Amino acid sequence: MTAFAPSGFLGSSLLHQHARLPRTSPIRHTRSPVMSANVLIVNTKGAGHGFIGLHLARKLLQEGNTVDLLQVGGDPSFGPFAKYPSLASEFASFSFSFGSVADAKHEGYDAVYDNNAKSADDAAPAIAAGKNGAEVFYVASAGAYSYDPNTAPHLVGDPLKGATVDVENLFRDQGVSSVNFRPIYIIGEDCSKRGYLDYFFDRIVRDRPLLLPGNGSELTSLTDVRDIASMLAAALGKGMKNETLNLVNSRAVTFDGVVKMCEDAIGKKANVVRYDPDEIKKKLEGFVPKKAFPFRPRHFFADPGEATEKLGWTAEFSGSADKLAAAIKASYEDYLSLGLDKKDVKFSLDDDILKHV
Amino acid sequence: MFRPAFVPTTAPSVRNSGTSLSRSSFLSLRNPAKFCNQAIRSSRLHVHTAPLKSSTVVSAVAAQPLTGKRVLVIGGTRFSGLYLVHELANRGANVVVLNRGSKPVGDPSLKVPGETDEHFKERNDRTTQIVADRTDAEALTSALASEKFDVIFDNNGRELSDSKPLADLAKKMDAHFVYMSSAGVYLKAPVMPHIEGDEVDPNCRHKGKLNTEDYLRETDVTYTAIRPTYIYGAGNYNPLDQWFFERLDKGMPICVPGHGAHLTGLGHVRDLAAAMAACACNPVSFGQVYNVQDRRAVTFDGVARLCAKAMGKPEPEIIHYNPKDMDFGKKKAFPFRPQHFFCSPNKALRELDWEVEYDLMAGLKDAYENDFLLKKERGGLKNDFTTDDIILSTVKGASVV
Repeated sequence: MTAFAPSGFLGSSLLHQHARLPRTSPIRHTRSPVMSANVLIVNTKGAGHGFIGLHLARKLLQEGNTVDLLQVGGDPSFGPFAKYPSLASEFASFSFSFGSVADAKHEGYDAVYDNNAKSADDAAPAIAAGKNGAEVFYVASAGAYSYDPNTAPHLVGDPLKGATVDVENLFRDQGVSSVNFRPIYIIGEDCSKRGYLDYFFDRIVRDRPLLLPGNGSELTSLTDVRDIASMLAAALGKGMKNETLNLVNSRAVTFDGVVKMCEDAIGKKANVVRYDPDEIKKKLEGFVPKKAFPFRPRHFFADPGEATEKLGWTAEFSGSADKLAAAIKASYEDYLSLGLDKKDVKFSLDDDILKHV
Repeated sequence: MFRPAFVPTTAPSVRNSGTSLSRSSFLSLRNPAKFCNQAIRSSRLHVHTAPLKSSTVVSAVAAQPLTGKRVLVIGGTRFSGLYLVHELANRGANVVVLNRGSKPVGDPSLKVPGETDEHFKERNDRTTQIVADRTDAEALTSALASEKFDVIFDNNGRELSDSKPLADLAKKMDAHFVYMSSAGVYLKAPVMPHIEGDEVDPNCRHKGKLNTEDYLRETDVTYTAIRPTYIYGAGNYNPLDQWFFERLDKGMPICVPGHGAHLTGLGHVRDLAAAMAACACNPVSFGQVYNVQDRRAVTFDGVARLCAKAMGKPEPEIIHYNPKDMDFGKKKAFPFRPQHFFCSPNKALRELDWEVEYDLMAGLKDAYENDFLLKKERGGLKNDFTTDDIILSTVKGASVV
């Protein structure tokens, strides 16, 4: 279906008819063989998004593409970054380097995934590649959505704020028709930010009170990194321009729901203690809610409907209670194999909060 | 950031019901993606278009989606049924309503808000009535014995025994059976929203609808099941928005059970009617279940605030209470159950030629202006604040003035 200009009321009426021709079957997005593309990934060292690069690279490589990954800063011995060499020995079409954005090549690419830019300077290689005809995919943030206490989830088109919005606007202003992805919290293998779930594991394993801000019904978005990678990869070669997609699970989970899934993974009950971060702020000097708990203490989730409609994407690895529970269980198994249950964890902030609960 | 670009037009809608709601012919001009920013749409929902002579429109436009189709609607005189009849007629169908006959076709109470007399008359010329009691299976079957329909809509079946005779008839006449189920069948879950295929609760209040859905699946009838969450809008017999409007109208605080952040799914009745009509004779929908509501869910506190906004009133005082501390006897203290209860309508949005046209502000304004204010004027409000009194005296130690 194409959009065309109306010619008077009849024109628009007929158009209305065209647009409403019944489909004979639901849109099926079968995985057609994609021509091998040359892809550049510019990857952040930041904790939340750092491991996207590894998983996206693997997914693109599995689909027959050639991938260059520029790791912007970061320690080569750190978790996901330390896996690049083994990925390179698995796929001859993968190469990686550690450097700065200034080191990035920007010619010869069919697509650039910018999982790094927070400013105009950072975005330079993606902009240059975009001007050379590459598809530009930008991993921004759903944290950019302005908070509305009355409704949820965040929808594409909702009001925005923040640094990633500036970069999105920059791409557009530079004539680069980027596809912008807005993720929330990401979990999974070779995680770059274990804190989302380790917060729960640390306290349950050590029989510490599990401090939860708010009422426990806060819905938050946790997505397995494989679902993140599959949505990003699915956009390749689709000719999307100036689009935004929420890069999130089709479901959100309540704080209490996360607790239950962690309890089931560990085989141990949690001792939940609820607190009101606003009240604690009044009583505890220097209290920063962000430092006390890994999730925003409010509903924070988004709708990935556009990705399903346009790319046929589904949250294959985390899109149901069972799958999310399995992902959390897998994270706990990693926790154990990394010896994190034996680690000496400091709970001084917990203790300070507990004094005022 | 708004995508995609569109060309606004003041052209009247295809169906030209003469209602203040233009069925958004301009929406069809843009990229067919249904997932557009609702903030844009709400500002255009009340475009007042000069109604054309309907006959001119009908003859000028090529076949409408349901032209020549014979559609049976059980009931069709109250709320969702009423709007459904309107929607089906607008799409060219010949509608037959089956009910106990207390309201004949053309009864003024069957006009939808904003509908012109002209348009009402025109569609009534294509609407007939069969008088029968749907709860009497024998009477129902004999009343429909020599009838042939393309689609049968059952909006008010509660138990399998209500709908089985109709489903069997639909099968016999090779009709498409569209069944109004409920999102109330979903089992309470820690992950949300509810999506079609999620586990259902065999012990829920709506298990009759579940049984019916199961029967439809098992027999060989061509069916579609619709699961709305909470339906609202002008003409609602379930006082949802009215509950809030009554209190806000009196400047009373809004007493919300629990923390007020529970999310609930509201769907405007016109959007529901459109979704159901979009299923009629549509092979894509055969054998499918669809959730129908707005893409957004709203918190309890949010409903209070948005109702106040729709009424042009200031921010309400909201009082949270623990329902376990209260004894309300048999009275219902709050219109929503104190848990998360909302669905994703994305499957319907993807598969059907359907869009959500009424966001919360537009929908609540409709309910307020076209229903509440009229009810208030004629003294039809309940204004029963017994439960509020109990809560306020417990929480504040003072009673409602």
